[in-house]
Amino acid sequence: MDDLLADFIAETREMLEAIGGEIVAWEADPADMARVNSIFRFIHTVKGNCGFFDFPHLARLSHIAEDTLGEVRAGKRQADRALVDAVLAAIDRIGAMIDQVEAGEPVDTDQDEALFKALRSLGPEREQATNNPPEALLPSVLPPLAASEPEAEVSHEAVAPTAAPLARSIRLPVPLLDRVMSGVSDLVLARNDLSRTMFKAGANPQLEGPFDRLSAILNELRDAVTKMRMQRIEALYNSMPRLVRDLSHELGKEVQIAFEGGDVELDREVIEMIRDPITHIVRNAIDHGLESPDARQLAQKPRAGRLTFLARQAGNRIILTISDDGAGLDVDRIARKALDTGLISAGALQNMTQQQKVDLIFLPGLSTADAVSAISGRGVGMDVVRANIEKVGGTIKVYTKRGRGTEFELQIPLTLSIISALMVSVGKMRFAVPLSGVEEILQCNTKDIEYTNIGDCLMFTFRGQRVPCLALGKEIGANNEPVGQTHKILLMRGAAGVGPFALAVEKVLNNEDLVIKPISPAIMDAGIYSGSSLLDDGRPILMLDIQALAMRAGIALEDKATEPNAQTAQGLAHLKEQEEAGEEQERRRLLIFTGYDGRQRAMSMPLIMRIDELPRSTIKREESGDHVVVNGELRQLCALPCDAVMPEKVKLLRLSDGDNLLYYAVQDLHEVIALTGVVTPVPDDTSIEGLILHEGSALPLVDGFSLFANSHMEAPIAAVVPRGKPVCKIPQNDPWSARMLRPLVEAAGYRIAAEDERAVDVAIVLDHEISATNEISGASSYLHIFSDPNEAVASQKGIFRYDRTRLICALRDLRKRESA
Amino acid sequence: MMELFVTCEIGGRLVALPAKDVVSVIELDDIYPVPLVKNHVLGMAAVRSLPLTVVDCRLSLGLPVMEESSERSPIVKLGEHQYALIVDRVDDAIEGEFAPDAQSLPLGNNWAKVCSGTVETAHGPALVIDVESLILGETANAA
Repeated sequence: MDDLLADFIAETREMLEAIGGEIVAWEADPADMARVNSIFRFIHTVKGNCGFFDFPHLARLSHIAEDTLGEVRAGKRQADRALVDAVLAAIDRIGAMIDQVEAGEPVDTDQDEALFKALRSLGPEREQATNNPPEALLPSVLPPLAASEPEAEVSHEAVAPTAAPLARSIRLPVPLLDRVMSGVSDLVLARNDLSRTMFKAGANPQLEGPFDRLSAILNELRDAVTKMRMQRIEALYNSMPRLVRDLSHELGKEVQIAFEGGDVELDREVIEMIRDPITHIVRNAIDHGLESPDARQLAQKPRAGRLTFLARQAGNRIILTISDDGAGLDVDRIARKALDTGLISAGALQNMTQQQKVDLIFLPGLSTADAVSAISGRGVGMDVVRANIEKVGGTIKVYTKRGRGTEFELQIPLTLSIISALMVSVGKMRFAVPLSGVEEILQCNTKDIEYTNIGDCLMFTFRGQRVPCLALGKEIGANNEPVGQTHKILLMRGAAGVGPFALAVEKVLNNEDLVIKPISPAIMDAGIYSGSSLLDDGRPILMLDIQALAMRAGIALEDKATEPNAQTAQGLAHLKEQEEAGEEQERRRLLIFTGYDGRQRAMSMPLIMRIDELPRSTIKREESGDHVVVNGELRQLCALPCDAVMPEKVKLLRLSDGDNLLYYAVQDLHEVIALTGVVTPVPDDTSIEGLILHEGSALPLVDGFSLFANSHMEAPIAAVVPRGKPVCKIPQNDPWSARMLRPLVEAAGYRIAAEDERAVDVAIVLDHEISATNEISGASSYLHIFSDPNEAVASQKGIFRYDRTRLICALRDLRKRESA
Repeated sequence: MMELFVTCEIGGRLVALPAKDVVSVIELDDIYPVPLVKNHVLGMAAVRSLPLTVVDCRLSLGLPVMEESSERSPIVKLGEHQYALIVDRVDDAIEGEFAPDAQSLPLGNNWAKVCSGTVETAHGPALVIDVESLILGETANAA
């Protein structure tokens, strides 16, 4: 019985969650019968399930709500605002009662009579009750009904046979899943061990067949088990419309909500752990971020604010951004507040960059809400949000622009059970370093690196950022070698209590996904290991606890965001460097890879959404072009020569211009570099943006623009030789513009205008922004870009976004005109 | 009451490990050293795809390491984790009566800390070892 009850509770909760979006959609269009049907089915199921248990009150509530909806379905009643509110209130009560049932508390029944009445009075006795305002739902307003009417047997409308087909599923406890997962990973290790033993014993063809079969099954099993834990992020998205609806009603704001990347999958547990922090961010965005409709209208913005969720996968991490187009954070007010509450000193504040001031919102005890509202500012601050995100190994960043909006960027690991790690070695010893902590891997002899000794501490300067450098060999007492040319440097991200630092190792071997197991107390004792795993070759490997290692070495650089009081001269220098580093981020980052033609090339990092490894069988080669099947969709694939010999698993770069997807086949991946020199254009080759200098040799830099252009249309050759430097304003905050347009405009000899620069020679405007053209008053000429070729033709002066020739010609013509 | 013991020699002395603690006796392949742990923890090894922590019992007792080490090691389980013990020699599995008389004997500091009693064997009395304190190596000096 207890099991049944637990199932009932879990199932009802799950349905409640799934139905949240339906309810909001229904409210937006009460005539939508499909929504009414699915809400009806939910209530019907709850009512049916109540029959198994003794919950008379819950049964009664669902019964009445079902009747009400039944009448709507039968066309006897119209779904108006009051009715929708009443049904919503009923659904909320179901949720609340489920909570009480789970907690073993008695279900409180006294406050629901008003709700019953609201549901009913809008029903059969509608005529008398139409004057009831929606506020009648508040129990305190209405006197409880003296006696509940005897319940008439209501015609049981059978659940529509067209009920949406649900995938069959069962519920499992997480520990059982974990046991299965760890069993499978042990099985893999045992298989590897068997394979080694077989190899040592010499070839035995009789064994090989069955062994290969076993191996193949096991690989499949491992994939399936990994998927068991995964869930689409839609599960999180689904609960948002309801939350946003309730908050915006309460606060008198209009909010549009948009989701992207709902098909991104991550660990169920991770989803649950980030649910609260995200809810909090959404609350803040609606309460403090978005302005009231009137204020928005004054600011020449659409009345309805926009809240956008975007999820994408990057390697083994998910990047989730939540952005609003509201007023943005009031940086000065945050700073003042931090000063007033004594969280930072005036001196410290003076030396802070704008972004550092914004980051003050993550300080414990800082709330900018002057009036504590019911929605946010209840003492649970952004510090708790950050702590919760960091608990799952994630990071959170905030970007804001006054008057334009705020964006939170969360980076979250895909799963908690498998950790992507980098294998490094010192002498004969190997260690695993969690990849999530590694910002970048550098060759020690890279030109841009400088070393200085401060006392006994080796400092490492790279791209204007100076961080302490630890030699792993020295830290673990393996050797005392100074950091030299042959070392590799891992640039480690800062984490709570520990600033960023560099870790010098002798070799970086490869990266592997490890199932990390706890280690014995005898080894834990060392204080620098967090777990162990077995490699495919059977040898044990220890995972380094990077934070502990850094603390042990005495690195506790005051984290500016957490301890801004501790401002020292060194901290100040550090700050200034960070400032510089901020500017340096403008530098392009490039991935070096080897293509299937055997040549090395570079690809602009922002283009790369993620790196996929797909089975050869998913690639379809045709005369007309290559395609790859990803998640049941056919995608264009390029850079695969006719005679390419592909391995079982093919590495593909998933490229995006913001709207379109494209796959790019690569044989091997190398490092990520920051572009230091210039890109030398090669006029005869449109497939490349130009040549870059890397470690003394010239590398072609793939032209993302022509890649995407070719996937749409033939792009004719157009040679551009830069001459003057007129200024061009391109659309801000648009991925296509940043990834595609910017390099092209720069290649055409323009300087990109700074965001607030007004006097520009040319302004490029995207189709959906055209109406707002008058904002850019300083520009002497405009170019209009359309994402639809037909629209471009129709508008006479417009240019299709992948019509490279016209775009370049137009830019060139304008430049001639400017200089004339 | 008769109990089962695995007898072996540590630092030239006869000792007995309670059989309930001993998972198996196997030959270790490679031992991968682990930095920054206590002296007597030699490192990690993997046997049949199981990770082991390797502990040298002589060092754990603060005794000098003999040139001879047994190729075979008793594997003991403590909580969730398994340990391989490096000893001089693994003798035999015997049945004997446990006598909790260790406290009354002047065993010497290190031995007293790891020993819970004695058992009579064909080769004379053997000290019964408390595996946990042996592995913790509280008697061993830190590296």
